[in-house]
Amino acid sequence: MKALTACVAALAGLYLAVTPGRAVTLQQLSMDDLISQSTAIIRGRVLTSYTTVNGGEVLTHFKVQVSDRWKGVSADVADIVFPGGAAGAVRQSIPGIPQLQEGQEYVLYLWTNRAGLTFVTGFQQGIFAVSQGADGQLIVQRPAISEMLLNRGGRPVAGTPVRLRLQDMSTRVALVTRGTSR
Amino acid sequence: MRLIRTLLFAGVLAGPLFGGAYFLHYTNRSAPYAPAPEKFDLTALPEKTLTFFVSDDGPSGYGANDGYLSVLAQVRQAAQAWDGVPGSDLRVAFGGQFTPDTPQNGPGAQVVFEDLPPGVYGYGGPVSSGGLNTAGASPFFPINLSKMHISRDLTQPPGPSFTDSFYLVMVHEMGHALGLQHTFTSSVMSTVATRATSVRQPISADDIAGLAGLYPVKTTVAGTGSISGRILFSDTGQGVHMASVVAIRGGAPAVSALTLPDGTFQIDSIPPGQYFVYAHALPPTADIVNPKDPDGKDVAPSGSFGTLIYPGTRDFLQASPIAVMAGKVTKDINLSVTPKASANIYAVSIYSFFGNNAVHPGRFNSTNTKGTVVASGAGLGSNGNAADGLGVQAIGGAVSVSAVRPYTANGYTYLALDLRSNPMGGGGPQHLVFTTSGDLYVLPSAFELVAADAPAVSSVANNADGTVAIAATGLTERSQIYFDGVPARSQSIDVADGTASATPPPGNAGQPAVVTIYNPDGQNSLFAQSGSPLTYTYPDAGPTPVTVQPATLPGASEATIDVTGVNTHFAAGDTSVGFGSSDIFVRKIFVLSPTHLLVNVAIPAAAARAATEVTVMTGFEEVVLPLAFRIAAPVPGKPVPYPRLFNAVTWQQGTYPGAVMTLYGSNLQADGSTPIVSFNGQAAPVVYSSPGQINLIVPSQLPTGPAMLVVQNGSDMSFPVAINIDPPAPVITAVAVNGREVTVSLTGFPADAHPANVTARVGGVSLPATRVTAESGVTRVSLSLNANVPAGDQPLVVYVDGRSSTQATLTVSP
Repeated sequence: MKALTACVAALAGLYLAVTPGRAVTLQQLSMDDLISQSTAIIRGRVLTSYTTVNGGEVLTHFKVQVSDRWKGVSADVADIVFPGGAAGAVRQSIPGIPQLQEGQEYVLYLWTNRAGLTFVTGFQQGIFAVSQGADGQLIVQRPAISEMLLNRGGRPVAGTPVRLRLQDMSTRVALVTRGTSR
Repeated sequence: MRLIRTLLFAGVLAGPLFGGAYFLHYTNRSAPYAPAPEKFDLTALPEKTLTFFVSDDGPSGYGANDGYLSVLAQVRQAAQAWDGVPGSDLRVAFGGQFTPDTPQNGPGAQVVFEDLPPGVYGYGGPVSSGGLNTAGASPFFPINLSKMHISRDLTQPPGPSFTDSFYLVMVHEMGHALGLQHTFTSSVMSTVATRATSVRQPISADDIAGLAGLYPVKTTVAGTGSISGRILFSDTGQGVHMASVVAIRGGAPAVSALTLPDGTFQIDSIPPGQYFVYAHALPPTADIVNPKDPDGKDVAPSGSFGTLIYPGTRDFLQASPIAVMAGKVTKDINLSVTPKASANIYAVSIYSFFGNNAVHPGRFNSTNTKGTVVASGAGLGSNGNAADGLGVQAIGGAVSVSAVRPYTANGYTYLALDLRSNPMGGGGPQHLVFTTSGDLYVLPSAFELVAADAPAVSSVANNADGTVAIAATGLTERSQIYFDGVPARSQSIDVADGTASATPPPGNAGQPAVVTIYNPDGQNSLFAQSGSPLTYTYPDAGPTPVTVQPATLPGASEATIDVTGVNTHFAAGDTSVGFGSSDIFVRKIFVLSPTHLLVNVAIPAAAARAATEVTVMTGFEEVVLPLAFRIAAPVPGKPVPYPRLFNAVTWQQGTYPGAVMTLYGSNLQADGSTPIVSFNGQAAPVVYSSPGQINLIVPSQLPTGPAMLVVQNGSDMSFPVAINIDPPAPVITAVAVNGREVTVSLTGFPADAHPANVTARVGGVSLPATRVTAESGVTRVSLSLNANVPAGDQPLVVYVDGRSSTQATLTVSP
């Protein structure tokens, strides 16, 4: 029992000598992290996609018809990019990069870089599909994160699925955003 | 290093490229499948060398004691880890800094630090363009750029850069850049949860096999073996696509392959021995890019299945070991697996504790007889309880798991695994097997069985002579002292006193460097001291200005650039020079003094005309010269000598005064005139010339070391290129024969030659030296003639370190 106690005590003040090592490495973001660290949060439906080559690398763009803006500023049609894809004969394979489905409605947590390119915050973590629940209520959900997620201590943690009512998420965004702005 | 050495001499098997963990394209739709990987085209890389560059707008935030120089040093060492991998024809180099957006046309690899979206630490992957390259025996899609995007904020993982974990991330991401995907053997290409390599041995057998399979050397030596077979679904008889098939044995790293769509597989580059073989489905966190079909669409893995061990059991005690023999393929290792919804247990990490620090992978000191490591991963348990029916066993017998005790901390469920060591068992990586009623999970190299505690640094002090005095516990004769992750230039260790003296790599005034001791068993002093490591602070030193001359060269040129510095510490093997573009290739660096370099560079005709950044780096002493070099337009007709001479006598090696040598290049002869060749201004008699080749005699008065070669082709003069002049060839003065034993006497032979570096060739048969002795300027090399040496008068030549002796004749009895 002594060893077990020691282990528990050690984990309480954990420093783990592990760090990422994947084609995509993600930091675990809480719901409030997602809200506060995103520059824009929108609800919209994917219209189409196209690819470009930028600095020798491929970017896959998704055009999203924006139906609601929960945070930040967005055009009526947002242009959201993901690294990798195929642009003509140029292909870039990046394990773990998510994709959006054309015609699907999402709530998307977005971040725009200094070059003006808009990415999804935390990649898989910032994508929530919108659908109608059995009770007729709109729900948003995200599957378990298949990428390796690391917590702030650098320790791998599970990316559990998220499912909640659209209204509840919207309320949470409003609350956190107000708190941030104060 | 033992493993690497073994493979170095063993080589790899040549054969078709099977389903290794690569970025694959299937070029046909039915068996037998013809997979084509994405990889660099070695014929498009100068001297088959891929150079990594690091963006000059580095990280914006660092943790304590961290900085950009440490980052660069780690990237350089990561490149070295992939350079010269046994069985691989690819070479990997570090090119220093580059300025983003510098135009460049050659294939290249880059590390860039960027503001990434919140929650993203890094990503990357190879870019290929163009169609299938079918020029060689194995078709492939050429990679033209690989870029690693790392967050600029190194206060977060993977920082700080002086830790072994940052270094291993760089090695891992470079593996992707070279064309490797994830494997599940705890190799450096495994995901972070299971990876179990270390600074002292950064890549494992599976990584070596992966790179050797992607870039195989053309001439291979049979010394490793292969296992082939097929994985089928038991219900349908259909092949399983992308099953991971693993060969494993106690105390050694595992080697693996993925199956093709028809379920066939071949695991190559396996050191000979007895292995268990098991197949498992890809875990949910596999993070592998699917192969593409001829239309470019994904070919997904088959559904999941239960892990099975050959010949068809879930119990390693019932498994049949497979014999792997050098040069042989052990065939028909087939398994019939049962579909299941998904793996319950996966991504398991094993930790051990050093004070409050949890270290992964765990270490168990066998001298303590008993110990505890901690397991964390999906499916092991929840709410403080182990998964129903969970059992944990070790493979091999060196260690046994005596108890499994679940507990919770910070809301997560962990398993404490109590271990007992077997006094008769060996050390090295230990594999664990986790079983439940419905699941079997094998974790290769789960923890390391060691025979001593980790080292710890107790004091660091500056000596007046520039060395550093270190006191430490756990020192061994083979401990290595690092400064911010870079090995000391030299060191001496007194194990009995627990002290060491080390010369740190050159650094900049005031730079703090974390002092770390790494032991051969993979343990290091940061295990217990990562929270408060001891540091060395570099003393004041003057500025280190550097100049390069010439600062402009045209495309389609070979030239030597003269690099001079002030207060610099250039050293052979420690100084790297880069020109900020994959279009400028550094062929060779001659270190003339701590302040003077000669750098042979090659610039292809298709090089982009651009101004580039020059980086000269020795240890942490880095000089960056922005826009200091320029590529100009090619000069038509200018002679371009390739800066390497080939001995025109077929059995001879080395470039020495009086030798007849062949020089290759372009425009070496103009309009039928006889070219003039000089070394350091001394004319070399030309015995044959054409536009592409000159045969010449090396001037007899040249000293050893670099000499500047210039070709005047009759209308224009080449840029000078540095050629290394070797000592004169050793002369065979006598040959004594006693039965099958031969003693060769030579003069001019290195007195300190090690027998391992000395060989002879008799009648075309290579023979190792059995003994080398030297006395009064005469070296005697002993040989044993084997049955392959033909009878009669045979030519005899002795080789040492790449140099050949004069030739003698040996009469061999039948």
